[in-house]
Amino acid sequence: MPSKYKVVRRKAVKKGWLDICARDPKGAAEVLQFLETTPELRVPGKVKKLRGRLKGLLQYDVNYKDRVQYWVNKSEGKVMIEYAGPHP
Amino acid sequence: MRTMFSDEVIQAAELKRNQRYWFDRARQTGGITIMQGKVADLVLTLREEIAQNAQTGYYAKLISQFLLEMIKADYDLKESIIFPWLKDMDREDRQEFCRELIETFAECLAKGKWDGLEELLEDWEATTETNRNPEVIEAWRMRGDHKEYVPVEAPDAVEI
Repeated sequence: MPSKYKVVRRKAVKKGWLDICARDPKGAAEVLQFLETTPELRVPGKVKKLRGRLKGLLQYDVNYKDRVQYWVNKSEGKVMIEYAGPHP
Repeated sequence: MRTMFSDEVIQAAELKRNQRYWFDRARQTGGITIMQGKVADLVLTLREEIAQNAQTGYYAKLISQFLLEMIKADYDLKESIIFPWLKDMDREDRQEFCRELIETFAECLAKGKWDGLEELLEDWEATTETNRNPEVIEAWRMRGDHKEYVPVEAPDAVEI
């Protein structure tokens, strides 16, 4: 599936993202492909849409331990990663 | 013979004689009751219908227990046994959660499908987890400043 979105991350998220890549490269590749193509697709048990004051923020559970939180900037065709790392 | 549920009641021997007819009949009507001797305690019905009824019962019980908690707390519930993660919500989020919960429950009940309620609960649980992470809350508050973002590294380009 062709990429529709450019995926960018907050600079501060570098360590969290690289840690996920090191721990689970397959999971990281899957989440990146997902973000580039269908970032708003609801995948039961995998993708969550946060609510309340965090409405607009989405969460992709990479594996049991790690997750990526992002939002979709449709006007610029970008997916903005705000957090990557372990669950609290 | 028809029962108060409008299903037909047949003897087990009749089912054995005309299996195909009664299987089709059960699919068409939603169910038939099988009588063995004088006891009519078994039904032949659609698996999906049973699953749907079980889900309805499960969620009705869950929501009624939660409403009972709400009533006992005089509608200002701060901690819940049913949804333990509620304790991490502020008052505004709790009110929004309760409103969405009841609305979604009513919608799902009308449709007979419960995906919407499952998603709502997953979403709010993830929301309360995130509320405990000040790093994300701050990032979300300051989102969109372009100089703070860089292209994400592809996993195969990362040294592992």
